[in-house]
Amino acid sequence: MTNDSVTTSAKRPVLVQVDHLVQTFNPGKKDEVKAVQDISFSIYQGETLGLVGESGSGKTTTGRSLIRLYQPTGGDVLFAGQNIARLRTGSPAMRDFRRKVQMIFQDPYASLNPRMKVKDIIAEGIDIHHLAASAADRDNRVNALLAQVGLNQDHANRYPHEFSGGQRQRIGIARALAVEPEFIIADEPISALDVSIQAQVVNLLKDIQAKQGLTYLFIAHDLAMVKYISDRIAVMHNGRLVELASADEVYNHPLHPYTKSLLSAIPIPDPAIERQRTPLVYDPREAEDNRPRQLVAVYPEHYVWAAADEVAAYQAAAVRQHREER
Amino acid sequence: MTPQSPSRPLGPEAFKPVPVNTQAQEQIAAPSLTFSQDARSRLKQNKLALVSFWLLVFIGSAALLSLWFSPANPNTQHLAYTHLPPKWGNLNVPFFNGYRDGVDLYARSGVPRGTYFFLGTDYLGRDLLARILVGTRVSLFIALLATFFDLTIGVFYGLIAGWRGGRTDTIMQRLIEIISSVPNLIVVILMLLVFKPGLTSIILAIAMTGWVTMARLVRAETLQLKNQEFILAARTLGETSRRIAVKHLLPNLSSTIIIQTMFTIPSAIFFEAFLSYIGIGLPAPTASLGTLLADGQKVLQLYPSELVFPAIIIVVLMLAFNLLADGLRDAFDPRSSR
Repeated sequence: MTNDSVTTSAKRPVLVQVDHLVQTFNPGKKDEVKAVQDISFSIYQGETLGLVGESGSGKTTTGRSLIRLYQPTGGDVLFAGQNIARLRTGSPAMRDFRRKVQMIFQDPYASLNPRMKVKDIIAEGIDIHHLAASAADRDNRVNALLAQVGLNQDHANRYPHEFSGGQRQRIGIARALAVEPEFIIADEPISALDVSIQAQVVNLLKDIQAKQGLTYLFIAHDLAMVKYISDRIAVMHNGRLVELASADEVYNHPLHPYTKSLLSAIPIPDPAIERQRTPLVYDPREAEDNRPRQLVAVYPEHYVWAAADEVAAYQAAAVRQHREER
Repeated sequence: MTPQSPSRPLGPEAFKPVPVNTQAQEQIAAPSLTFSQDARSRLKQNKLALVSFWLLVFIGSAALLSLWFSPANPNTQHLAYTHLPPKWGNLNVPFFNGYRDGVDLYARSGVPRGTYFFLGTDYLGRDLLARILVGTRVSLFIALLATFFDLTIGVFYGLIAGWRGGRTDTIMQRLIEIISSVPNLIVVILMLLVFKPGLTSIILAIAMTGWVTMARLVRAETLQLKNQEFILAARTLGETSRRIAVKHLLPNLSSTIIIQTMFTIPSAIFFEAFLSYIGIGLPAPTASLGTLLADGQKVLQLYPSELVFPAIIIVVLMLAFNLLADGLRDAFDPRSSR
């Protein structure tokens, strides 16, 4: 089996297809960083793909390469059939891409320009892409977006520092929605928020998705939250995808040892079970034996990063786990 | 006395949850202040900076008004009236009554009635007040020029170096290091080989070197800002670099720029005064605070007032600009204070 199986097994239309994406910083220099090392996956139209992994695993870099904040070192990113990695800055296709793909950022305190009014922050994309016919139309759009994210109209003339973290994050969401995008990359949108506010923001994202048929790439390190919002989950480690499957599948039948280790680290709010929980330690050296590895389908729609001779063991484990469940 | 509300027994209705108004939760009660309004209110609390500000306004407008309403021609010599002490009309204020060592010098020199020199005269009988006003004007002109070069070359250079980064930044930084490693004084002395001493060489020297600190500060701040998420958001929205610089970078750099300008001004004023003092600044008849100090210093033991008055002006100018700069820094960036 080859990588192609990852990208062509779709029955649903594919919106984003990532092929052998490589992102290296300072290539060839002493401080070279291989942030993303040859990853391939696709995102179906209308789904939420959760991207999880520990700090430094390359999640954010992947998101930023997809939206062309970084120029990919290698590989292709196809968005609606168009190769984003080759688009020239300032070209009409690039402008179109900039409108259709948006990002929600991690830090609600850094993602809003402190010197701009909320109105102008939200309308930034409207101004750039000339979406408003008049000043009144611009104001109407801003008010509608504010209402959509649950803020009042009289917030439009205030400055970001007057808002709470959750409110700011919702302003950031309104800014992303202003250009009517098709695909939103949410880069840890809730990790800087209070737990009480996290649910509010996540539910808002789900609502908007249901209403507008948006596609999300949801980057996070909180597995529980990712499972709640995602249709499928991709697990990243050391710049590689180690496992990709539906949310339930990853959660209930993890195959790769790193995924197992991640899942074993989730605390369970039941003292009886929590006392039994033993965190599994994953040794990354397991995978650094220079054997060629790639994402292989070991069960329908369940991919694991494995060397050729490990595939059989994973397949057997998958079958066994599913049989046990039944 | 018993408490104002008599203790009422708590019925079961007291334990019903109060309905939550989600719309009201989003309400912000505080008045909406822009950044500059906020900074202004903080500046107003700083008495020292406020006094400095009004002092500068007073000195500046006096110097400017003297263009049209000068107390006397600053270059007219009255060889009969040399080294006269100050005299404020007929007010007879001690030290300002035209007497020195008990002698009425105005009467002895034959100064006509109704002619007064408010701050006395110098060794050529020129009105010291008029000359100080001219000197202040020169200083403020230099301040304006230094600001101009700071805001144009300095800000632009720093923005480009910081925003482009990489090799562009490295080359631009090396260039700045070369420029700043040559002392200003050497630059001015080398200019004297080409130009006559005067404003031209001082202006050129400030144009060549005065903006270096500003460029460095703006570059450092830009490097920090350009990875902020709101800049990334602007890029994902498709904003061009030039618009990002105008809409996002400059407004966030404004406090740094204003503060640095306020620190550049006194050093430029001092630089000009220093050059004029050692005789390679403005040429002879033109008054400048530096030449006035040099002239006054020659007769310090006999007529100290001729040194003291220009010295007071330059000290007040320097202090006021520095204190105002401090005040502005605290107002714009409250975290940096103390």
